Amino acid sequence: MNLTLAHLYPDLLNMYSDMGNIICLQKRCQWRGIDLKIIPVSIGKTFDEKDIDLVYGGGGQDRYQAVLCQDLLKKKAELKKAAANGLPMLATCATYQLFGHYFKSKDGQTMPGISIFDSYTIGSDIRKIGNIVIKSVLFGKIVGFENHSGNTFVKGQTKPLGKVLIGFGNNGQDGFEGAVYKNVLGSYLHGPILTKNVQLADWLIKTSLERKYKKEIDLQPLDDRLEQLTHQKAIKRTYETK
Amino acid sequence: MDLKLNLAVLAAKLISQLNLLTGSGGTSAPGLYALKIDPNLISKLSAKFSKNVLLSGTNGKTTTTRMISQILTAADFEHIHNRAGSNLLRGIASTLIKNNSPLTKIGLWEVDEAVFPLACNQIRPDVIILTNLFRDQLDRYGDLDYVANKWQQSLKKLPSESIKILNADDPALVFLGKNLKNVFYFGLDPKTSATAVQSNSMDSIFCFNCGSKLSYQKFFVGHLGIFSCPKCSLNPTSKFTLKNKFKLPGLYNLYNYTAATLTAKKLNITQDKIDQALTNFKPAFGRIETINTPKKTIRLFLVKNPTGFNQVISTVIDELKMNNITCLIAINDLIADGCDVSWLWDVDFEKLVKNIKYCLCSGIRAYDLSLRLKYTDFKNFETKENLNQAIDKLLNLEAKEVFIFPTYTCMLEVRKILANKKLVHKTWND
Repeated sequence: MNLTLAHLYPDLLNMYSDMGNIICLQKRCQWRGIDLKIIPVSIGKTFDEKDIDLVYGGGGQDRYQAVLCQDLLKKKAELKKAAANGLPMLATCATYQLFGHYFKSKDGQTMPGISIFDSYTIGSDIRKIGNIVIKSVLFGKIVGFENHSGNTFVKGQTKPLGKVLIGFGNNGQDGFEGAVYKNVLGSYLHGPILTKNVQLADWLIKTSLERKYKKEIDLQPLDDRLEQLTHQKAIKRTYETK
Repeated sequence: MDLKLNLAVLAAKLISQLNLLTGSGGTSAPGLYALKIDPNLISKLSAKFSKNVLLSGTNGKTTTTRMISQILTAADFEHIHNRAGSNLLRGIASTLIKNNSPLTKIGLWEVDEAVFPLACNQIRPDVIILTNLFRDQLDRYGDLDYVANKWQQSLKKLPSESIKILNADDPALVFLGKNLKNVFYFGLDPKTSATAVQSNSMDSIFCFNCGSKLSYQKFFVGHLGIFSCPKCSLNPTSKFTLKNKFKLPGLYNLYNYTAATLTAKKLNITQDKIDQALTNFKPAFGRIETINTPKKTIRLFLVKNPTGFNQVISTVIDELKMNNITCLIAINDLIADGCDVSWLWDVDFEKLVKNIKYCLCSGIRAYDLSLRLKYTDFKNFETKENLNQAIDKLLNLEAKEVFIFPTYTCMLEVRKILANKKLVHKTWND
């Protein structure tokens, strides 16, 4: 079996060890004999749903976010359609923000997003930094590190990824973190999120395969003892550091 | 007479005395309290010197400042230096209070990136050295651009006659140097051989001036290299370069040597004094250290961030040609290490493991490290969170030569453990 992943703007959005998410998907595919091909989709490149089984976009500096948001708007129709059609995607940090309607910065400038999520982000003076644990109905406990000044608010058909157990979450106010719309996941967590929470990585792989091969797929189980232990240790550490 | 200042100095001295009596080693506590009494203490006390030299940057701060200090000593310049490693304002204040010799001519200050603007305002330095700007410890600073903007505002506020010594191979710093007077650049000779390729942890690959993607002929260390902007020609005109004729390996140390030499030249110190000092230079404990014990050679390399770690990997493998390595990597997540350990995924462990025989993973975040190694498909590693036990195990292995790669607070712990085993002196001179 094989899968093709579109990595959005890997040259601009490569903050916070986002490559870890790619490495994680790659290895977990490889260990199961699934061939995962990675295609960089940066400025000027077109995104075509029919070639792609899975999408990832990561975090970046504010300056780059402004550069790429114009280009992202050109891909808006295709990406939105793909999301509505159930294409699995993971959007972290900056991409998570731009998958909403807009990002309004502290000085009042508005950066348009592509409205995959029914969400919006408002810049703030307070950076929300630290270890975080959330609890998700779909995935159980998710642990990571957050570092963002934007406050994101999720509404309508878009549901939060989870409830914050410890940490700030989307905005530090409503107790939620991340977003889910169909098979699209958004989150502020890095760590990287997939390496510390491999249930998410496997869900993305499984969902992509099932969509591509149009049948139910049972992923071959892996020896995840080290992954589980790391996940638990990170949760424990989060409680120690708060 | 400045009553506030005198009171602040007195309070600080009392606290140091108490510290000495109780044996608690806090070097910055006196400064911390003194600054509460007189927030302008640094400005007042540093104004007495004929020159103040202020250095900041992500990598190479401590080493370069120590090099400059050694050169000043060789040239008989009485100077003071916040060398105990406290590079926040309180550390500077403590140093000023402790060393108020009337003979002191120069104040040499190493400051944390985030503290640079405040320190600049207080000290009004005559010479500024900015070594580089990487995304170290974003958990503290937030965003690279944020730091760059703050630095730019500080530099603009300084009198134009102040000397700015900037890294020509760092696009962010070249951007900061634009439109300023008395800017002098240092960097590496374009012919210097480099093994670095564009990596995951690139920081400034887009022009700070016009936003276009920079084109690089060569990468030396992370995003430091021979670059040009295709649109707005953001390039320094000329730069001071040096050949590495000294002891410390690694291109990052060549940057340190070069920055220190250019600074010394701007202070009118002669070449023979500079060479004399740099030839004998020894870095702070643990940065690069070889400890010879009866049974083993222990090589210690501090790894602070992905760039630093990648440089250490490149030095050990490409320059020192080590292979079949037995090592201990120790990762903590305390404030001085950076609380976010995601950076481990930006380190080129894929390259390191090809040359490793066996690796012990230790520290508070030993499991994060182990997991990172697992995802390189390397199998021969073991996890021991307790650093004491990990070092015991390492020293009992067969290998004659072993490597330790610790983050900052792990390095302090390693030093304590080795001292307890009497393998290094308790009072390492730094």
